[in-house]
This record gives sequence, structure tokens and C-alpha cells, in this order.
Amino acid sequence: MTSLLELRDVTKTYGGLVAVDQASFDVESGKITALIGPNGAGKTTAFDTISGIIEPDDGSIVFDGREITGMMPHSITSRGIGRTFQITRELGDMTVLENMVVPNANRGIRGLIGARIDESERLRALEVLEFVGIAQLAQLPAKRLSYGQKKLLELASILMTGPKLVLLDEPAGGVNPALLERIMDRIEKLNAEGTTFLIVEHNMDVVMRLSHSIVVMAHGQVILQETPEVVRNDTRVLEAYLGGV
Amino acid sequence: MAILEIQGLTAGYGSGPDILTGVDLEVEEGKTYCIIGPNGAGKSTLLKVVAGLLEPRVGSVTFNGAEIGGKRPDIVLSNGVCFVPQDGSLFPEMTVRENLVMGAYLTRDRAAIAERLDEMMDLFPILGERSSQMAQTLSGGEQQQLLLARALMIRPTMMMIDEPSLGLAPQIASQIFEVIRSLSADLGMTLLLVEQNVRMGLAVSDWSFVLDLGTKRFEGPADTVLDDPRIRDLYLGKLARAVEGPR
Repeated sequence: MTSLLELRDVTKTYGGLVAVDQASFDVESGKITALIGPNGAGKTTAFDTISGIIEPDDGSIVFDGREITGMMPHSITSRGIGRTFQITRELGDMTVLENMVVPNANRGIRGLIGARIDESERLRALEVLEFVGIAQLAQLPAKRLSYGQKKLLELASILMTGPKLVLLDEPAGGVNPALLERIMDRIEKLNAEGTTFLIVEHNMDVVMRLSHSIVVMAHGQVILQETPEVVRNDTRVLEAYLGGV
Repeated sequence: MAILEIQGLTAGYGSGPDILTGVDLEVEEGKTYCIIGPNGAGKSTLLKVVAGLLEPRVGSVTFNGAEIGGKRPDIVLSNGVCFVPQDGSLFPEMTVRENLVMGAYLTRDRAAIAERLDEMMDLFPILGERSSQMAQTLSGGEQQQLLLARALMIRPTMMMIDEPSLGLAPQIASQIFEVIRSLSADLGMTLLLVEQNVRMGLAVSDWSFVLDLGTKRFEGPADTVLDDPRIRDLYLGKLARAVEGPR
């Protein structure tokens, strides 16, 4: 097994609260790994440390053989990690197509305000939008999209950066069943083509269908990393969800 | 006999999808009920509909024989149904006493308000000690007690409490559940709880409703409901790959 991402003893505290407590887990290259656990388990904080939004107090994060602990988010993105958020963050007054080229505007501020999308970039964006199934909405302001369509736009826009690892925060949250099916299908297709995924998701049917490996967190700690079959039958996992008296 | 009856309830937010679909349930007077289910099951939404914060799209909600579905929150309150939300709705820059008085906003009788204030200080001694402190200076557990006491100022027949242990240390959460237990045991209150710490919520309840993806899957006595094998499927999902074989 080859790990694309390795977390070792990552810790993050807020005041007296230990949000992530010496967490260690691996994301295997070419696989879909899910990160699950009850509310307050530390999943989103773990995501934030990987994507560089927060710096861990302790521990190390290695991506593709290189230490990325504490790097700025844009440096992490440029190394090949793309991330979506629980609540979508589209630029509402810009068109769907314009939203697609923003993450790729790596030519500095001039690239952003130049207001021109070159033809190859436009074609690439349309191709990705076609792949997620919203190419027909390319010229609409992003704010006109449904919540599920915004999730697809967010996925599409991070694909523009050609990530090796995609972090998805609640891809199924608030999405209707038909769109959910499409989102899962696209994740599986991308994975079949080689993209590695780390997914935080509360919909356990989605987790059990997509994942090759599941990391279970509770109270900031990783309690196990195993296959879906093992996780589902481990009594510690159900207990973590049901809480204690 | 049921004091709260919900029939065929479907509800959702704005123009979004249905969050609850066809929910039926009955609540008997003087008993404590815990609504359980995974994230996104619709538990908090159900409480919001009963509280009048969200209109039913279809179905009815009757309390004490009167239809309260779609009525304004103050009308629902005046029918004796009080909602304690999870998002800390205290007035942070008002004192403990002022927050309690706000709980009796619908009551005009000053003498009755003074009497109820005394009752609350007796029932929650810590609030008596802190009566002239601003609410924002209270600890999490004290704030939760103030939320409960403020709801009691209206002398409701039924209280709905959303996630009473949210953000509390386990020991403090246990104390809050002791208070909740006494609301039922000593005051005979009808209680409808939503609680993420399922075992704690069930320990103070008589009966449980199990929700998943907006529908009531089943219900049963609080002390045995977790023995149902369907609980594992609900919280940990179904194994799609067990059918397909390993990839």
C-alpha cells in the first residue's frame, strides 16, 4: 500500500478544548477514504489542518512524500490537494464558467482582473462542467444554482486544478437523491481514473458505498481505521455514535 | 390519551426539498419522549414545526385538541407548548432575572411573574445566586439551566428541548439531565427531547421515536429501543459492498 497522505499525531486545541488529539491515519493512493464520527469528533478540524486553513499545534502531515504541515492553503492546493466545504462558497454574482477559472487564476492579480478567459481554459472548464452535468448552466450567475448544483460546481472548480487528492466535506449534505446519485457516480468515475479522495460525510449509506477505508474519530481521537465491513461491525463505532450515560 | 398528535406531517424550508415526510406520532401527557436518529433525520425540524417556527406543507399538528400546525409561535406558546432551541437564545447582555422575566412575556399579572421568579430561584439555586449577573457571564451548564427556567416561566404543559447537552462537559450534561428528569417527576411536565447523546436522552425518557431521512422508522420503549437491529443500519449505514464483493 502507498500512502498519498499521512497524518501522524496531529493535535489541535482551542483554549482548553482538544479538537484533534494525536490523530494518525493514512489515505491510500488511488482509493476513497472516509472520515466519520459523531458531531464534535474533530473531522472538520482534521480537514482544516490538511488543507492549511489551520496550523496544528503538534504532529506532522505528509503529502506525496513531502511535509506540508502548517503550509499556506494556496501552497497546499498547488501541491495537488483540492478541497470543498460543508457550506458551498461560490462567487454568486459571477457566472458558473467564471467560477470555474478563478481557482486556476495563478497568474496573480492581473490574471484575476484581466476579465478574459482564454479559449483553452474555457474549453477545459466546459469539459469539466459537462463531466459533472451542469455545462448547460455555464453562463448563469452561480447564485441561481440549486444547492446541489452548487455542490457540483464546487467539485468541478477544484477539478480545474488537477488535484491528486480531493477532500470533500459533506458532499451529500442537503442534496436531493437524484443529484446525490450523480455526485456519487462522478466521485466513483474520478476515482476509477486515479483521483484519490478523503471524504467527511454523515450519510452512512454514501460512506459505506463509496469507501475502501474508513477512519473513525470520536472526541478528537482516531479510534480505528478499517474497511467498511469491519467498521460497521465494531461495537466501539456504534457506541461512539450513541454516546455514553 | 394523546396530548400532542401529529398526522401525515410533511415540512421543509423555503423552496427546498421536504425534510419531513408523512410523519405520524402521538405524545401522552406527563411522559418524556426522546426523538433519536442520525444527522439529517429531521429531529430538530420536527420540533420547529410543532413550535410554530416552520409551517407544515401537509398534515396536522394538534395539541390538547386544538390545531396548532402553522400557527404563530406566540399562539403555540399560549396553548402551553414551549420550545427550548439549541442555539443559545438567551439575551446575553441582560441579567439572569431579566432573562427569566422575558420568559413570562405573555403574562400580564406582575404578582404571578414575581411568584414564578421565586419558584425558579428555588428550583435552580444557582440562578438565584447569579440573578443579577449578565447571562453571558454564566457557564455553559448554567446557561442551559437558565434556558430551561426561562421556558418554565410561561408554565407550559409541554416542553420541547433541542440538544440540551450540546457543548457541555459530560458531568455538566448529567446534571442537566437530572434537572430534566425532575421536570417530569416533580412537575409532571410532558417532555419531547432531541438529544445527540442518545443513551443520556433515553435514560430520562419513557418512549422513543426513531427518525431517519425525514420519516419515522419505528418507535418503542426508551429502555429497549437500542436493542432493535435496525439501529445499526440507521447510524452506520448499509453495506453496499457486502453485496458487490470487495473492490
